Amino acid sequence: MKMKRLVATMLSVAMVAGTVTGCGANSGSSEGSAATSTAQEGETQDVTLKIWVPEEEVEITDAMVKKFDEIHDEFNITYEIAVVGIDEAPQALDTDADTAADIFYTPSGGVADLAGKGLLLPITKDYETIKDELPESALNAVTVDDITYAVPFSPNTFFMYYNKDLLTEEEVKDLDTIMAKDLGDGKYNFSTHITDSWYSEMFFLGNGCTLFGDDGKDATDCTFNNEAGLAAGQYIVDLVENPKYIEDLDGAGGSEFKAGNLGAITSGAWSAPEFREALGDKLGAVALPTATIGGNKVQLSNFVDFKTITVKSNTQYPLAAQQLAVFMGNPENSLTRYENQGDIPVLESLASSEAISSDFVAKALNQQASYATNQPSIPKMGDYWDPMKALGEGIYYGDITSANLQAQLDSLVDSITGTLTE
Amino acid sequence: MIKELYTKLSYVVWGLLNIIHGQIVKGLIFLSLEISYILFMIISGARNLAQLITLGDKLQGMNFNEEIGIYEMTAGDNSMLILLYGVITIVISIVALSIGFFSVSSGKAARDRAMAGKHNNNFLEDLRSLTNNNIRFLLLSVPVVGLIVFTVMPLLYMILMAFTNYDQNHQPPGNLFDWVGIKNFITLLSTGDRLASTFWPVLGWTLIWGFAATFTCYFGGMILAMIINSKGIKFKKFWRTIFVFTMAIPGFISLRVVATMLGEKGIFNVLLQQWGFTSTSLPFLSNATWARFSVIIVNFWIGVPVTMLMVSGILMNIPGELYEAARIDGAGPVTMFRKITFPYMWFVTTPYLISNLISNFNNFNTIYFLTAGEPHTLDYYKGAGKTDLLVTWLYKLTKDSNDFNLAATIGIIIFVISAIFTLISFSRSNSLKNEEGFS
Repeated sequence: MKMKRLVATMLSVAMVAGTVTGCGANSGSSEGSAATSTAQEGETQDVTLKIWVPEEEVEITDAMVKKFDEIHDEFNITYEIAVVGIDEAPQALDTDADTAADIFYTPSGGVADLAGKGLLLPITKDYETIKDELPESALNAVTVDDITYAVPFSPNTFFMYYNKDLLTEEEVKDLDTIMAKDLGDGKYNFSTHITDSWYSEMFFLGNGCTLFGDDGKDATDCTFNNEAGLAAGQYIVDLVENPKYIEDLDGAGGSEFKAGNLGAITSGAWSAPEFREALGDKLGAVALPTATIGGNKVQLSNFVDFKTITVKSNTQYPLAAQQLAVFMGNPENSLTRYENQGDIPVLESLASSEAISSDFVAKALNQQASYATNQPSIPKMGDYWDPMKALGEGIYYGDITSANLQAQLDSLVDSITGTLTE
Repeated sequence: MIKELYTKLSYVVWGLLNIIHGQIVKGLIFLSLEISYILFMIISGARNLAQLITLGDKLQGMNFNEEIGIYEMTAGDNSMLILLYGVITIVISIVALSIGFFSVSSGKAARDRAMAGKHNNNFLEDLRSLTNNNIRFLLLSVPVVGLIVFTVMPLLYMILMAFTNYDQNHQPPGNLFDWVGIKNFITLLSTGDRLASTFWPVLGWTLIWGFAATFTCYFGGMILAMIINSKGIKFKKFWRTIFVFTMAIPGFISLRVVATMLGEKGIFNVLLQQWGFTSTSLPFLSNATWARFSVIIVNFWIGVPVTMLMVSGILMNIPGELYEAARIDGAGPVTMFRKITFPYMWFVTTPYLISNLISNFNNFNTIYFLTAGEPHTLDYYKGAGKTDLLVTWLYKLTKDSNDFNLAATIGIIIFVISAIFTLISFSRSNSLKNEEGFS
C-alpha cells in the first residue's frame, strides 16, 4: 500500500518534471490478464462506462444510452458522460489509459497509431450490423491487420465553396477556368491552404502520385518526387504566383470570401454555417475542380478521413463497451447526430436519404469523398505533416522555385519515408 | 572478544551496538528500518531490479473469445513502469545502505563512549540535541529528502530513458522497449546521419541565439538605464515606470500579439505597404534569416526593461567621487563609461550574465510562442524548424512523434553544454575570484 502511494507520488513528480521527456503516467494493469466479466444466463451484470463526447453532443449521447439500456437488459449500466473533444481524447488516452474514458471519439487518422500502441480494443461484437453499409474506404481506415478497431460515423474532408455571383456552375468544374476568369479589380478567383499539409496534397494525389502505396499501408513508399509530382509542384508554384490567388492563411481567404471578393475557396463542412450567414443564397458547394497538370486534365484528390468511435483496450467491460460503441454509430443515431450536429453520416443508407441528398453541402462532401484518397492511417503518417508543410511554406514564401523544386521534392520524400538508421 | 563479535554483527544487524550500549530506542529504529527494507526487497524490490535488466519481456496480447465473439486483452509488461519502479528501488536501496553505514558508525561511537565510561545520550536527549548542537541534521534533512524525491528520482528516470529505444515504434503498453546503450548519442552526434544533420544546425542556432539574446538585452538595458539616470533627464520615475509596464504583461501574451502583428497580413506589413515602403509583404517570420532576426529583436524588446531595472540599482552604487576625479582629470563621458562604469558593471553582473545565457539557451517561451520553431524546412528532419532551439525541438519530439529517447538524449546534451559554460565562465569570472570587491 505504502509502495502504491509512493508510486503515485512518483508518477505525479515524473509528470511535473516531465518537461524533459514529456512522459505521462501510463499505468497498465499489471495483474496477469484483464478480467472479462461475462454475464451468466438471465442475470444482470453491473457495468460502469465512462464516455467522452464533444460538448454539443452530451444531450444526444444521453438519449442514446437510454435507448441502449432498453435493448440490453443483461447490463445494468451506470454512465459517466464527460466533455472531451475528438482531438483531445486520443491524447488523454495516451497520457493515462487508466483514467481515460471507455468510449470516446478518435479521428480515423489516429486509429492505427493508438492500436499500434496497444491502447484500443478491437470491435467485433455487433459490427456486422453496420459493416455492409460502410464504404470500403471507411472500413480500410479503421482496420489494422484485418482487425477493426473503430466505428466510423462521419467522413471528414474538404471540398469547394463558391460564390454564385462570381462563378457559374459550369466554371467551377475546372480550376484553370476559374483562374482564367476576369472578376475585376480587388477580387480574387480562388483560395486554398497550400501552407497546410492537409490541403496541399490534392494536386499530387490528383496527378496520380501515391503516399504509402496504393492502399496507404506501405511505409516505404511516397512518389511525390516523380515526374507527375514535379508537374504538380510546378502547378502549385504557378498558382501561388498568380495575383488572382489568395492563400487562406490565418483565415484571410475565408474573410475575403465572406466579403464577396472571392470566387471559390476550399474548406470543409465546418465552414458551412458562417458562409451561409455571410452569402445566403449566393453560396454554392461542389466537389474539388479538375486541373490541367502537366498537360493532362485530372480531378484533384484530397485526403478523406472519418470521425470514429473507439474503445480503450484496458476497459473493464469490453463486451458492453463495444456493443455501445457500435450502437452509437448505427443508422438511427448517426441520423440524430446529423440533425443536431451536421455531422454527415457515412452509412450508405443514410447518405442517399432524402434529408441528406437535398443538402448541397452534404452532397458536395459525399461527391468529394468519392474522389478523395483515403488518408493513410499507419503510424508513419506522423512523419508526413511537417515536411509537407515545409514544402507548402517554401513554395508560398518563394524559397522553393522551379529551379530547386526537384531537389526539394526529393528531400520531402526522403523526410517522409526515411527512418532512423537502425 | 565477545565485543568484537558484536561489532562485526552490527554490520548485519543494524543498531545492535546501540541497543547493547544503552541506546535502545535508537537501536530499535535502525533495526526496524533494516527489517522494513528487507521486507520491501522481498515483496517487490528484488523483482523490480530483476525486471529493470530486461525492461519486461511479456507482450500485451489479444485472444479471440469465440463464445461471446469479442477480443480479450491480456496485459503484458509495461516497460515504462518497470523503468520507473526500478529507479525507485535503486534510490530506496541507496538510502537504506546509507542508513546502514550510519547505524554502524553511530553504534561504534556509542561503544567507544561506553568503554571510556562516558554517558551515552538516551533517545530524548538525542532528539533535543537535534535542535541544539546537531541542528545541522535537522535543517538539512528537509531539503535532502525533497531533493531525492522531487529531483534525483525523476532526473535519474529521464536520464535512463536516453539509453533505451523508447521511440514512436516502442510505445507502451502495446510494445516493450529495451536498453540500447549509447546508440542514441551516436545517432544524434555522428555526422552523416539525417538526425545529426538536423542536430548540429539546431545546436548552432541555439548558441547564436543564446549569445545574441543575452548580450543585446544586456547592453540595451545598460544604455537605457544610463540615459534615464543621466543628469539632464526629467521625470525619471515616469520613464522607468513606462518601461517596467512591459514586464507587467505576461510574456506569452505579448509574444502572441507580436507574432500576429508580424504576420503576412499583420499590421506591420499592412502599414508598410500602405505607406509605400514595400510593394509585397516582408517575410518577418516566414523566411529563415528574417525570422531569426525577428525573434532576437522581439526578445530584445521584451528583455531590455528587466536589465534596465537591475542595472539602475547598480549604477547608483558606483561611488560618485570616481566620476568627480575623472571629470577633473578631463575625461569625457565615453572615457568615463569605458574606464569606470563598464568595468564596474561587468564585475558585478557576471554571474547574472552567465545565468541569463543559460536560461536563453533554454528560452522555450520566446521561441515557441513567437514562431513555434517555424519556418519549417525540408533540410531538417523530425519536425525541427529554422528557429527551433534544442529545447523546443525536444518538446516537439515528445509531443508530436513520441521519441522520448531522443528527447532525453537531447536533454542530457543541453545539460552538459550548460554545465560546461557555467563552470568555465564562473571559474574565470572576476567577481568570484576576487571577492574582496571592486577597487
